[in-house]
Amino acid sequence: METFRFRLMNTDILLAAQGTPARIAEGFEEAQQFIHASEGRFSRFSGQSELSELNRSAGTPFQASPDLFSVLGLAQRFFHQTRGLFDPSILPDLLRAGYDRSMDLLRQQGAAPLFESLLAGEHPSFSEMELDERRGMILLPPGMALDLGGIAKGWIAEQAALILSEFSSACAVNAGGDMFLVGLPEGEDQWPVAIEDPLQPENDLTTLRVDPGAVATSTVTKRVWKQEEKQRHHLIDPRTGEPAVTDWLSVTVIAPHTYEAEVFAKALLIGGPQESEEIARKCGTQFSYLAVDHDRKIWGPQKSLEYINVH
Amino acid sequence: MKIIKTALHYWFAIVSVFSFLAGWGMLAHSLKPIQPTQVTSVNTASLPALPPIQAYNGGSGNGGGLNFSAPGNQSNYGFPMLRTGGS
Repeated sequence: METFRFRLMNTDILLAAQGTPARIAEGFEEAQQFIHASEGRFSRFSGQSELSELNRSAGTPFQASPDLFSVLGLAQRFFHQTRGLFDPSILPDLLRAGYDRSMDLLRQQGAAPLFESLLAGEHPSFSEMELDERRGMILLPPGMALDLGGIAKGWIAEQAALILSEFSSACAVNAGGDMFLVGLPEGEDQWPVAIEDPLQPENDLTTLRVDPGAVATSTVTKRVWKQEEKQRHHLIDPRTGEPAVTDWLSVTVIAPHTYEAEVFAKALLIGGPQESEEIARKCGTQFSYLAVDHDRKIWGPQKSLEYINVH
Repeated sequence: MKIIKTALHYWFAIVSVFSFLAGWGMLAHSLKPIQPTQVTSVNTASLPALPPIQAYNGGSGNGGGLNFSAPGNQSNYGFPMLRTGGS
Protein backbone atom coordinates (compact mmCIF):
# COMPACT_ATOMS: atom_id res chain seq x y z
CA MET A 1 0.00 0.00 0.00
CA GLU A 2 1.40 3.39 -1.05
CA THR A 3 1.26 6.37 1.29
CA PHE A 4 1.51 10.12 0.80
CA ARG A 5 1.63 12.63 3.63
CA PHE A 6 1.42 16.41 3.69
CA ARG A 7 0.11 19.20 5.86
CA LEU A 8 -3.02 21.20 5.02
CA MET A 9 -5.96 22.53 7.07
CA ASN A 10 -3.45 23.03 9.92
CA THR A 11 -3.22 19.30 10.36
CA ASP A 12 -1.23 16.31 9.15
CA ILE A 13 -2.89 14.44 6.33
CA LEU A 14 -2.07 11.00 5.12
CA LEU A 15 -3.40 9.26 2.08
CA ALA A 16 -2.95 5.50 1.65
CA ALA A 17 -4.00 3.50 -1.38
CA GLN A 18 -3.63 0.05 -2.89
CA GLY A 19 -3.26 -0.49 -6.63
CA THR A 20 -0.89 0.27 -9.47
CA PRO A 21 1.71 2.94 -8.55
CA ALA A 22 1.05 5.18 -11.57
CA ARG A 23 -2.71 5.27 -10.96
CA ILE A 24 -2.23 5.82 -7.25
CA ALA A 25 0.15 8.74 -7.84
CA GLU A 26 -2.54 10.31 -10.02
CA GLY A 27 -5.14 9.69 -7.30
CA PHE A 28 -2.92 11.23 -4.62
CA GLU A 29 -2.51 14.35 -6.72
CA GLU A 30 -6.24 14.75 -7.35
CA ALA A 31 -7.13 14.13 -3.71
CA GLN A 32 -4.50 16.63 -2.53
CA GLN A 33 -5.76 19.26 -4.96
CA PHE A 34 -9.29 18.73 -3.73
CA ILE A 35 -8.23 19.15 -0.09
CA HIS A 36 -6.28 22.29 -0.93
CA ALA A 37 -9.22 23.82 -2.80
CA SER A 38 -11.65 22.86 -0.04
CA GLU A 39 -9.46 24.43 2.62
CA GLY A 40 -9.65 27.66 0.61
CA ARG A 41 -13.42 27.40 0.73
CA PHE A 42 -14.05 26.41 4.35
CA SER A 43 -11.24 28.05 6.33
CA ARG A 44 -12.24 30.82 8.72
CA PHE A 45 -8.58 31.91 8.88
CA SER A 46 -8.54 33.17 5.31
CA GLY A 47 -10.40 36.40 4.64
CA GLN A 48 -10.91 35.29 1.03
CA SER A 49 -12.58 31.96 1.83
CA GLU A 50 -16.21 31.43 0.98
CA LEU A 51 -16.95 30.86 4.66
CA SER A 52 -15.46 34.25 5.57
CA GLU A 53 -17.56 35.87 2.84
CA LEU A 54 -20.64 34.17 4.27
CA ASN A 55 -19.81 35.41 7.77
CA ARG A 56 -19.42 38.96 6.45
CA SER A 57 -22.79 38.68 4.72
CA ALA A 58 -24.74 38.13 7.97
CA GLY A 59 -28.06 39.92 7.66
CA THR A 60 -28.31 39.55 3.87
CA PRO A 61 -28.94 36.46 1.69
CA PHE A 62 -25.76 34.78 0.41
CA GLN A 63 -25.45 32.74 -2.78
CA ALA A 64 -23.48 29.66 -1.69
CA SER A 65 -21.54 27.05 -3.64
CA PRO A 66 -23.12 23.57 -3.63
CA ASP A 67 -20.34 22.31 -1.31
CA LEU A 68 -20.84 25.01 1.33
CA PHE A 69 -24.61 24.67 1.09
CA SER A 70 -24.34 20.91 1.50
CA VAL A 71 -22.10 21.16 4.60
CA LEU A 72 -24.40 23.75 6.20
CA GLY A 73 -27.40 21.51 5.54
CA LEU A 74 -25.61 18.72 7.41
CA ALA A 75 -24.65 21.13 10.19
CA GLN A 76 -28.25 22.17 10.65
CA ARG A 77 -29.34 18.54 10.91
CA PHE A 78 -26.64 17.65 13.45
CA PHE A 79 -27.37 20.76 15.51
CA HIS A 80 -30.82 19.31 16.19
CA GLN A 81 -29.70 15.69 16.55
CA THR A 82 -27.08 16.61 19.18
CA ARG A 83 -29.52 18.83 21.09
CA GLY A 84 -27.41 21.87 20.24
CA LEU A 85 -24.11 20.46 21.55
CA PHE A 86 -22.74 20.65 18.03
CA ASP A 87 -23.09 24.32 17.18
CA PRO A 88 -21.02 26.03 14.47
CA SER A 89 -22.26 29.46 15.60
CA ILE A 90 -19.96 29.52 18.66
CA LEU A 91 -17.29 31.35 16.64
CA PRO A 92 -17.61 34.57 18.70
CA ASP A 93 -16.95 32.53 21.86
CA LEU A 94 -13.98 30.82 20.24
CA LEU A 95 -12.52 34.21 19.31
CA ARG A 96 -13.17 35.49 22.82
CA ALA A 97 -11.24 32.51 24.19
CA GLY A 98 -8.26 33.58 22.06
CA TYR A 99 -8.57 31.16 19.11
CA ASP A 100 -8.51 33.98 16.55
CA ARG A 101 -5.82 32.61 14.22
CA SER A 102 -4.68 29.19 13.05
CA MET A 103 -3.43 26.83 15.76
CA ASP A 104 0.04 26.88 14.22
CA LEU A 105 0.17 30.68 14.61
CA LEU A 106 -1.49 30.64 18.02
CA ARG A 107 1.20 28.31 19.31
CA GLN A 108 3.92 30.56 17.91
CA GLN A 109 2.50 33.92 18.97
CA GLY A 110 0.35 33.22 22.06
CA ALA A 111 -3.30 34.17 22.56
CA ALA A 112 -4.83 37.63 22.70
CA PRO A 113 -6.06 38.69 26.16
CA LEU A 114 -9.62 37.94 27.23
CA PHE A 115 -12.12 40.62 26.26
CA GLU A 116 -14.38 40.72 29.28
CA SER A 117 -16.66 43.20 27.51
CA LEU A 118 -17.81 40.37 25.23
CA LEU A 119 -20.24 38.10 27.01
CA ALA A 120 -20.00 34.36 26.51
CA GLY A 121 -22.84 32.91 24.44
CA GLU A 122 -24.05 36.34 23.30
CA HIS A 123 -24.94 35.57 19.69
CA PRO A 124 -27.99 34.44 17.73
CA SER A 125 -28.92 30.76 17.91
CA PHE A 126 -27.78 28.57 15.02
CA SER A 127 -31.40 27.53 14.58
CA GLU A 128 -32.06 31.03 13.20
CA MET A 129 -29.94 30.33 10.08
CA GLU A 130 -32.12 29.99 6.99
CA LEU A 131 -31.34 27.75 4.01
CA ASP A 132 -33.17 28.25 0.74
CA GLU A 133 -32.67 24.89 -0.93
CA ARG A 134 -34.27 25.87 -4.22
CA ARG A 135 -32.00 28.85 -4.85
CA GLY A 136 -28.95 27.69 -2.85
CA MET A 137 -29.11 30.81 -0.68
CA ILE A 138 -28.06 31.07 2.97
CA LEU A 139 -29.25 33.76 5.36
CA LEU A 140 -27.34 34.24 8.59
CA PRO A 141 -29.04 36.53 11.08
CA PRO A 142 -27.09 39.70 11.98
CA GLY A 143 -24.36 38.93 14.51
CA MET A 144 -23.96 35.28 13.53
CA ALA A 145 -20.55 33.96 12.45
CA LEU A 146 -19.75 30.31 11.79
CA ASP A 147 -16.79 28.03 12.34
CA LEU A 148 -17.09 24.84 10.29
CA GLY A 149 -13.71 23.45 11.42
CA GLY A 150 -14.51 19.87 12.42
CA ILE A 151 -17.48 19.06 10.22
CA ALA A 152 -15.75 20.54 7.17
CA LYS A 153 -12.58 18.57 7.89
CA GLY A 154 -14.59 15.36 8.12
CA TRP A 155 -16.52 16.13 4.96
CA ILE A 156 -13.31 16.97 3.06
CA ALA A 157 -11.57 13.77 4.24
CA GLU A 158 -14.49 11.66 3.05
CA GLN A 159 -14.77 13.38 -0.33
CA ALA A 160 -10.99 13.07 -0.84
CA ALA A 161 -11.19 9.34 -0.05
CA LEU A 162 -13.96 8.91 -2.60
CA ILE A 163 -11.81 10.67 -5.20
CA LEU A 164 -8.85 8.47 -4.33
CA SER A 165 -10.99 5.35 -4.51
CA GLU A 166 -11.46 5.93 -8.24
CA PHE A 167 -7.74 5.23 -8.65
CA SER A 168 -7.33 2.34 -6.21
CA SER A 169 -8.92 -0.88 -5.00
CA ALA A 170 -8.73 0.15 -1.33
CA CYS A 171 -7.75 3.43 0.28
CA ALA A 172 -7.84 5.59 3.37
CA VAL A 173 -7.68 9.31 4.03
CA ASN A 174 -6.84 10.39 7.55
CA ALA A 175 -7.01 14.11 8.36
CA GLY A 176 -6.10 14.92 11.93
CA GLY A 177 -7.62 11.71 13.21
CA ASP A 178 -10.77 12.00 11.06
CA MET A 179 -10.62 9.16 8.58
CA PHE A 180 -12.60 7.55 5.82
CA LEU A 181 -11.83 4.01 4.70
CA VAL A 182 -12.84 2.60 1.32
CA GLY A 183 -12.59 -1.11 0.49
CA LEU A 184 -10.29 -3.44 2.40
CA PRO A 185 -6.54 -4.00 2.28
CA GLU A 186 -5.56 -7.18 0.50
CA GLY A 187 -6.02 -10.26 2.70
CA GLU A 188 -7.82 -8.33 5.45
CA ASP A 189 -11.43 -8.44 6.54
CA GLN A 190 -11.26 -5.19 8.54
CA TRP A 191 -9.09 -2.09 9.04
CA PRO A 192 -7.06 -1.80 12.25
CA VAL A 193 -7.25 1.69 13.77
CA ALA A 194 -5.28 2.55 16.91
CA ILE A 195 -6.70 4.97 19.48
CA GLU A 196 -4.07 7.27 20.89
CA ASP A 197 -3.63 7.76 24.61
CA PRO A 198 -4.89 11.36 25.03
CA LEU A 199 -2.32 11.99 27.77
CA GLN A 200 0.61 10.43 25.90
CA PRO A 201 -0.25 10.61 22.20
CA GLU A 202 2.91 8.74 21.22
CA ASN A 203 1.32 5.65 22.83
CA ASP A 204 -1.79 3.74 21.83
CA LEU A 205 -4.52 2.70 24.27
CA THR A 206 -6.07 0.05 22.09
CA THR A 207 -6.66 -0.96 18.50
CA LEU A 208 -10.07 -1.11 16.91
CA ARG A 209 -10.99 -3.30 14.00
CA VAL A 210 -13.49 -1.53 11.79
CA ASP A 211 -15.30 -2.05 8.53
CA PRO A 212 -14.98 0.40 5.65
CA GLY A 213 -16.52 3.70 6.75
CA ALA A 214 -15.47 6.44 9.11
CA VAL A 215 -13.67 6.95 12.40
CA ALA A 216 -13.06 10.28 14.13
CA THR A 217 -11.81 11.42 17.51
CA SER A 218 -12.27 14.63 19.45
CA THR A 219 -10.04 15.50 22.37
CA VAL A 220 -9.52 18.34 24.81
CA THR A 221 -5.81 17.61 25.18
CA LYS A 222 -4.41 18.77 21.84
CA ARG A 223 -5.63 22.15 20.62
CA VAL A 224 -4.78 23.84 23.91
CA TRP A 225 -3.29 27.23 24.76
CA LYS A 226 -3.03 29.70 27.59
CA GLN A 227 -4.96 32.95 27.64
CA GLU A 228 -3.42 35.06 30.35
CA GLU A 229 -3.43 32.53 33.20
CA LYS A 230 -6.37 30.49 31.92
CA GLN A 231 -5.90 27.10 30.28
CA ARG A 232 -8.00 27.02 27.09
CA HIS A 233 -8.98 24.41 24.51
CA HIS A 234 -10.93 24.56 21.27
CA LEU A 235 -14.12 22.71 22.21
CA ILE A 236 -16.62 25.37 23.24
CA ASP A 237 -19.62 24.24 25.24
CA PRO A 238 -22.53 26.07 23.56
CA ARG A 239 -24.43 26.01 26.87
CA THR A 240 -21.81 28.19 28.59
CA GLY A 241 -19.88 29.81 25.74
CA GLU A 242 -16.67 28.67 27.43
CA PRO A 243 -14.22 25.81 26.70
CA ALA A 244 -16.02 22.68 27.84
CA VAL A 245 -15.37 21.14 31.24
CA THR A 246 -15.64 17.44 30.52
CA ASP A 247 -15.63 14.08 32.26
CA TRP A 248 -13.78 12.57 29.32
CA LEU A 249 -10.48 13.41 27.63
CA SER A 250 -11.34 12.04 24.23
CA VAL A 251 -14.18 10.39 22.37
CA THR A 252 -13.78 8.20 19.28
CA VAL A 253 -16.80 7.56 17.07
CA ILE A 254 -17.24 4.89 14.40
CA ALA A 255 -19.91 5.84 11.86
CA PRO A 256 -20.78 5.50 8.17
CA HIS A 257 -19.63 9.07 7.38
CA THR A 258 -16.62 11.03 8.59
CA TYR A 259 -18.53 14.26 9.10
CA GLU A 260 -21.03 12.57 11.39
CA ALA A 261 -18.29 10.71 13.29
CA GLU A 262 -16.54 14.05 13.84
CA VAL A 263 -19.73 15.83 14.91
CA PHE A 264 -20.87 13.13 17.33
CA ALA A 265 -17.36 12.76 18.82
CA LYS A 266 -17.37 16.47 19.61
CA ALA A 267 -20.94 16.50 20.96
CA LEU A 268 -20.41 13.45 23.19
CA LEU A 269 -17.14 14.83 24.52
CA ILE A 270 -18.79 18.14 25.43
CA GLY A 271 -21.94 16.50 26.78
CA GLY A 272 -20.28 13.77 28.85
CA PRO A 273 -21.92 10.51 29.97
CA GLN A 274 -25.40 11.82 30.66
CA GLU A 275 -25.92 13.68 27.37
CA SER A 276 -24.19 10.88 25.47
CA GLU A 277 -26.78 8.42 26.65
CA GLU A 278 -29.53 10.73 25.48
CA ILE A 279 -27.94 11.35 22.08
CA ALA A 280 -27.04 7.70 21.60
CA ARG A 281 -30.62 6.74 22.42
CA LYS A 282 -31.88 9.18 19.81
CA CYS A 283 -29.29 8.50 17.07
CA GLY A 284 -27.79 5.25 18.36
CA THR A 285 -28.13 3.35 15.11
CA GLN A 286 -25.92 5.91 13.39
CA PHE A 287 -22.73 5.36 15.38
CA SER A 288 -20.76 3.64 18.13
CA TYR A 289 -18.41 5.41 20.51
CA LEU A 290 -15.56 4.85 22.91
CA ALA A 291 -14.65 7.49 25.48
CA VAL A 292 -11.42 7.78 27.44
CA ASP A 293 -11.67 9.29 30.92
CA HIS A 294 -9.05 11.07 33.04
CA ASP A 295 -7.79 7.72 34.39
CA ARG A 296 -7.40 6.39 30.84
CA LYS A 297 -10.34 4.04 31.35
CA ILE A 298 -12.32 3.36 28.20
CA TRP A 299 -16.10 3.71 28.33
CA GLY A 300 -18.77 2.99 25.84
CA PRO A 301 -22.02 1.22 25.11
CA GLN A 302 -21.98 -2.55 24.98
CA LYS A 303 -21.98 -2.70 21.18
CA SER A 304 -18.66 -0.81 21.06
CA LEU A 305 -16.92 -3.83 22.58
CA GLU A 306 -17.04 -5.60 19.25
CA TYR A 307 -14.62 -3.06 17.77
CA ILE A 308 -11.94 -3.57 20.38
CA ASN A 309 -9.02 -5.77 19.61
CA VAL A 310 -7.19 -6.25 22.91
CA HIS A 311 -3.39 -6.38 22.64
CA MET B 1 -69.86 46.22 52.03
CA LYS B 2 -68.20 44.58 55.02
CA ILE B 3 -69.72 41.23 54.09
CA ILE B 4 -68.32 41.45 50.56
CA LYS B 5 -64.88 42.38 51.91
CA THR B 6 -64.87 39.43 54.34
CA ALA B 7 -66.10 37.07 51.62
CA LEU B 8 -63.27 38.24 49.34
CA HIS B 9 -60.73 37.60 52.10
CA TYR B 10 -62.02 34.06 52.54
CA TRP B 11 -62.16 33.55 48.78
CA PHE B 12 -58.49 34.58 48.30
CA ALA B 13 -57.38 32.46 51.26
CA ILE B 14 -59.14 29.34 49.94
CA VAL B 15 -57.94 29.82 46.32
CA SER B 16 -54.36 30.33 47.56
CA VAL B 17 -54.39 27.11 49.59
CA PHE B 18 -55.86 25.07 46.71
CA SER B 19 -53.41 26.54 44.16
CA PHE B 20 -50.50 25.68 46.42
CA LEU B 21 -51.72 22.11 46.88
CA ALA B 22 -52.38 21.70 43.15
CA GLY B 23 -48.86 22.95 42.28
CA TRP B 24 -47.32 20.61 44.87
CA GLY B 25 -49.23 17.68 43.39
CA MET B 26 -48.12 18.49 39.84
CA LEU B 27 -44.46 18.77 40.78
CA ALA B 28 -44.57 15.59 42.85
CA HIS B 29 -45.84 13.63 39.84
CA SER B 30 -43.64 15.22 37.15
CA LEU B 31 -40.76 13.32 35.46
CA LYS B 32 -37.51 13.22 37.44
CA PRO B 33 -34.13 14.05 35.81
CA ILE B 34 -31.94 11.05 35.10
CA GLN B 35 -29.12 10.77 37.61
CA PRO B 36 -25.60 10.38 36.12
CA THR B 37 -24.91 7.34 38.27
CA GLN B 38 -28.01 5.63 36.93
CA VAL B 39 -27.04 6.35 33.35
CA THR B 40 -23.54 5.02 33.79
CA SER B 41 -24.47 1.92 35.67
CA VAL B 42 -27.49 0.95 33.62
CA ASN B 43 -26.57 1.76 30.06
CA THR B 44 -22.81 1.92 29.71
CA ALA B 45 -20.24 -0.67 30.42
CA SER B 46 -16.72 -0.01 31.61
CA LEU B 47 -14.41 -1.67 29.16
CA PRO B 48 -11.21 -3.27 30.40
CA ALA B 49 -8.38 -0.79 31.04
CA LEU B 50 -5.64 -1.51 28.57
CA PRO B 51 -1.97 -0.93 29.20
CA PRO B 52 -0.31 1.66 26.93
CA ILE B 53 2.02 0.14 24.38
CA GLN B 54 5.10 1.56 22.69
CA ALA B 55 4.14 0.52 19.21
CA TYR B 56 4.54 3.82 17.43
CA ASN B 57 7.64 5.91 16.94
CA GLY B 58 6.40 8.27 14.27
CA GLY B 59 3.96 11.06 14.97
CA SER B 60 3.90 14.62 13.83
CA GLY B 61 5.38 16.03 17.01
CA ASN B 62 3.20 19.09 16.67
CA GLY B 63 0.01 17.94 18.25
CA GLY B 64 -1.56 16.72 15.03
CA GLY B 65 -3.32 13.47 15.73
CA LEU B 66 -3.61 11.90 12.40
CA ASN B 67 -0.93 9.51 11.76
CA PHE B 68 -0.16 6.46 9.84
CA SER B 69 3.12 5.06 10.98
CA ALA B 70 6.16 6.52 9.30
CA PRO B 71 7.79 4.71 6.36
CA GLY B 72 9.80 1.81 7.69
CA ASN B 73 7.49 1.70 10.67
CA GLN B 74 4.84 -0.43 9.09
CA SER B 75 2.38 -2.35 11.22
CA ASN B 76 2.19 -6.11 11.38
CA TYR B 77 -0.65 -5.97 8.88
CA GLY B 78 1.56 -5.14 5.90
CA PHE B 79 0.00 -1.74 5.40
CA PRO B 80 0.18 1.53 7.34
CA MET B 81 -1.32 1.54 10.81
CA LEU B 82 -4.02 4.16 11.12
CA ARG B 83 -4.13 6.17 14.32
CA THR B 84 -6.81 8.45 15.65
CA GLY B 85 -6.52 10.82 18.57
CA GLY B 86 -8.07 14.10 17.52
CA SER B 87 -6.18 17.17 16.47
